[in-house]
Amino acid sequence: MTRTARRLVHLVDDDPGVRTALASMLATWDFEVVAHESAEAFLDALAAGASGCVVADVRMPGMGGLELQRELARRGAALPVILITGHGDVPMAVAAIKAGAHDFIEKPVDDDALAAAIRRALAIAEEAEGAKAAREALRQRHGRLTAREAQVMGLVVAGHSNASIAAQLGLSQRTVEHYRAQVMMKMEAPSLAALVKLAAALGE
Amino acid sequence: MPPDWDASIAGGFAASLCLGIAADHLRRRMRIDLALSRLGDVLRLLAVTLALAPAISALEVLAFVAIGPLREAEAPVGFLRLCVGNLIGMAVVTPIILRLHAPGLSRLRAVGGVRVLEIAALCGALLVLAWYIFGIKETDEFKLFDLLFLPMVAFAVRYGLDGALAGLALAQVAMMGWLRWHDFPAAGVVELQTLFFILAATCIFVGIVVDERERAGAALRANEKLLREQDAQLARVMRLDAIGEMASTLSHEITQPLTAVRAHLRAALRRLDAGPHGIDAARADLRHGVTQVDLAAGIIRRLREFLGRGEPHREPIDPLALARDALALVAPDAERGGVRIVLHAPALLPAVLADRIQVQQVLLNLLRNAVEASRAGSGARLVSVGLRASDGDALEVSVHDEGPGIAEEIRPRLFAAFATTRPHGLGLGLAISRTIVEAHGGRIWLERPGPDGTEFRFTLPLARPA
Repeated sequence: MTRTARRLVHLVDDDPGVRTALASMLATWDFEVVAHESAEAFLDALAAGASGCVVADVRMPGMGGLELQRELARRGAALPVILITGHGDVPMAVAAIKAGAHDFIEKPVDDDALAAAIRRALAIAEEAEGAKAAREALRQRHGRLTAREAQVMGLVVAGHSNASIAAQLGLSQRTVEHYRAQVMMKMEAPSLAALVKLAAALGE
Repeated sequence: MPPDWDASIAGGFAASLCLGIAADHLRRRMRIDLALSRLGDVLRLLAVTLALAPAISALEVLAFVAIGPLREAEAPVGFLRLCVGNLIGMAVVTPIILRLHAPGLSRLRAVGGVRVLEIAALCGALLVLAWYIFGIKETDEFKLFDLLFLPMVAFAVRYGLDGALAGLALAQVAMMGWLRWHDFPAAGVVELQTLFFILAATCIFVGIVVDERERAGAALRANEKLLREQDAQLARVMRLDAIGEMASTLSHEITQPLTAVRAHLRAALRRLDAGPHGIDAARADLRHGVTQVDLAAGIIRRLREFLGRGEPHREPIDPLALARDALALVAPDAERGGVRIVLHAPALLPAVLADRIQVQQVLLNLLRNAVEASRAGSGARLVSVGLRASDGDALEVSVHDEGPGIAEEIRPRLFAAFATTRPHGLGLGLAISRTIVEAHGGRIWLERPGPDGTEFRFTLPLARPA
């Protein structure tokens, strides 16, 4: 993950005045801002595996912030959404949070609050992304095991002794020890406990 | 007299049969309302009576002749007498019986106070006239019969169908009583009864028409009341709705530039704080901020123009007509609150140059406030509207009430938007009023703040300054 992606904010607002102002303001907080004039335009520009977070106005012609939030969830895009609501849109804010919005900020926007919300959202996005990457790496390591090694790993993790595994698979104990060493090396597990944890992560 | 008995039984049987068939026909085919609430019901009843009386009489005469008590030569005279007797009986007695059985309609059953005296007087007049016409042998009852119309029509006009029927019954009893007393010849009775039938028909018609008019009037009054209430409710809802909608739109429209201005100002501050290299960007932010402030000012100006509708359509208007229109519009509200509104104005007032609808809005607003204040206060529930020419080139309008007055702390902001003493008020009324009056080149002010009398005044330019 690049440093830019960790600070990337997709700003979606139909009002050019508000859009320009918020973009300028967020820039002073060291965020990378990409502004979009509508939810539809943002979705069109959205690449697979995009990162960062979304700051969107609730009230827009066409697709509003709430619908954008739902559409992103439908597409499985893991972008946290911060909604900007007009004064007194409490029912809308409640609906937004229920629909899975990360946060909502009332107009006229308090930049400290917005920046804090963005940072929280980005941290969550990053964490989610990091976990996803780690799981991917683990899966690759597991993919390098031969069928026999994978079989042995399963039995080791299940708590069987080398003798028991040898008996079950019809192998000599020495051969089992060899497979086991291969598994520990390929899975980059320093100990049996670490191997069990990795297996658990894989099974998720 | 056994033969007479046979004849009576046969005649009675024939009559009953006819009456039964007729009654069935009236109820099923003609769908008559047994309470006789409509003119049509009475007309149908009388029509059937007219057709039925000769038929029954003919059957009875046939029975009498066949069995014996009546000679053939006497048959035509007998028929005539029976016919008139039956006619009177059915035309007067049937409606009386039907009305006595009508559910809760009779006004005669619920008389009280002055009406008892009136009914007694009418009955007395009827009896005296009956005595004068029929009781004194020397008078010619045929020539004087028409005198009976006077009290009878009075009965019908005052008490409707029920009054007419009661009067008819009384008149019939009185007439027959006096005639019996004098052994009046039977042939004369037939003629008198014919006259009586005309009297009966007339009174019944008058009675039912009076009833119908009264019912229609009551229905109309109830309808009008309902309409007025609905009207007032609708106007209130529409006013609230329009103001609510406007407030929501306004808040969104103003919040947008405010949000932008705040963001630009904060960005500029942070850039300047960060050091001299941010000055150019900060300057750009401030420039954008100014543009957004202008935008907000434009929105507010547009709103003012909308409320004042920009260039108003001004024409010379008669201020008296304008005031009367406004008074008529608040009248239902005032009436409900027991508030009286009086207009003080000279008979002749010069025309003012104004937008009729806008100025009416101002006057209505002041009047509504005054009515509401009158209801809230403990003083007299009286609102006075005054119109007078002032200083040569303007008309001055004053609206005065005896309500609790305007609290000291509100007075300085009285004409500002959103200043209100009412729990659900928006406080836009006086602000809009001031916008309108000032757009006309007039002035609006609080002349007396209360509590001993609250008075608002405003001026409008005359169409032709003196």
